Amino acid sequence: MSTTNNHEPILSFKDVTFAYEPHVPATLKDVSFELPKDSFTVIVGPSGSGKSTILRLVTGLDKAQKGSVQNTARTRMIFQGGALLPWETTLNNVKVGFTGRKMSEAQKTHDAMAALTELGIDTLGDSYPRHLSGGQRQRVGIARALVSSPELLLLDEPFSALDIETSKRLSDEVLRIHSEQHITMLMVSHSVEDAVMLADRILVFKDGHIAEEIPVSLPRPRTITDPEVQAIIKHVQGTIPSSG
Amino acid sequence: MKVTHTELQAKPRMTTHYWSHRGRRAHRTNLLHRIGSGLVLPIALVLVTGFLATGVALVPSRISAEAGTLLAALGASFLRLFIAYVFSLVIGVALGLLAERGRRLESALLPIFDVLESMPVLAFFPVVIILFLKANLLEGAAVFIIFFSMVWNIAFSVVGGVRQTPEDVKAVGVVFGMTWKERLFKILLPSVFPAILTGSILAVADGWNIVIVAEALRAYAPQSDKAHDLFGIGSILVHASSTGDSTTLLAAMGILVVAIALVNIALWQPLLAYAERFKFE
Repeated sequence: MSTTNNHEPILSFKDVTFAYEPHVPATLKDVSFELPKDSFTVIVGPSGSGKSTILRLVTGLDKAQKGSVQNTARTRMIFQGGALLPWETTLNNVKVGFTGRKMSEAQKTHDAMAALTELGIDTLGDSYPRHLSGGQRQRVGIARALVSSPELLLLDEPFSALDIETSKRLSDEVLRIHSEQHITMLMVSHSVEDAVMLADRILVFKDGHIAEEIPVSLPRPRTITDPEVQAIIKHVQGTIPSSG
Repeated sequence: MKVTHTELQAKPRMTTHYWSHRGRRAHRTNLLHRIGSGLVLPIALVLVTGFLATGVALVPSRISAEAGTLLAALGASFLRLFIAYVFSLVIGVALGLLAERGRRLESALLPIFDVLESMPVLAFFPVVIILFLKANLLEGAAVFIIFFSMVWNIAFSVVGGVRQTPEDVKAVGVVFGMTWKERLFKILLPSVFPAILTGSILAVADGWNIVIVAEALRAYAPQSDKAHDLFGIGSILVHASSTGDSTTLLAAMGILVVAIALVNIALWQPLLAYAERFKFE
């Protein structure tokens, strides 16, 4: 059951400051932003700019030392590389998504198989992660995140370990899920191209704060060769300092 | 788009591999080679060593009469080792997981573990015996000293195993709302299973070393004699050695080597093969 309406932000950061250890420079400095329901926000920025820390704070893996993080949504996450449990079959990995749900084992199996079927990998239910390709693992990770009907889906560099072709197919899949299931999405990415192709808003992080907020109002699906898409890519790239 | 899967057919058959816990690498072999290298060669080594030391070329008939005693002694030593191992497993895993709970705990506990691991356990054996003698628990003294030699192998292996577990995998438990108990049993313990196994193999090897001396209590307990020794293969070895009974010494060594080789073939090998599925790429 949803706990939000369209007028309330599903997630809000207010003046959040965070450092991984005392006496070291803060990773995030007075960061404030909100995620409207059904939005697709992508955070880009160079390494060490604090992008992934945002996701750790949203999931509760870390706590902000100053400011507040308010998350009213049922939240799930898609990890870079899938983060599957190697000792479990694909089907059992998907069932991890049902943690905390009171369901019969038969119902879990049925729903997990349905999720695998939707992502085109139902033949891999009995396989172990070590026998899957990078793209297949990521699909299992997506299925695991989706079976519990999340309201907020976090994506941590979901395409970075994949080849271009697989990356394109999976980003299409993510976009389809976003439009069909109306899940609010917050993605962290190194790829400005991915950000512009998917997001309706891009947050550019620099030195632990939001350097620029760029709305992307082009209709989806977008084409990478579209001059308007290219113009936005160029603009975003111009705002990101070199990480070298 | 349907994704088909054909790689399962290419999966190596684990029964045709020898698994080394040192790096857990598989080496192609077959059962004959495994029995040859794991059982026949060690026995041959014992026989040759025994011959060079004693001049006894074959197993004398007296040993067959003593075989029952030797097997019972082996069983007693195994039981002692097993009890110490169970304690080591539970406490070693708990200490290893505790040390990895946070940076403060790690920086407090690891130096203590390092010091305790480096302590010469036999130097403290007389003190341990006196303490256990007061409670009339001589068996306890032996088990404790074996435990103390084993536990650090498991604890440090678990610390290494937790460190090698990818952060994303650890995060899965939190993100998907698992309780701490679910995270422990569904994520943390399976992820360190290969490390626990490696630590266990090393621990049991250390345990066998200590069993030999831990059973010969007369060397450590004040005002004691052979009657204070614990019945086991270790005390038989020590007694046979000190009295020059080379036949019994040879037989005890042989039975010990066979037992250790059988444990490797029947227990550690299947477990090492099974542990491969818990490995992160």
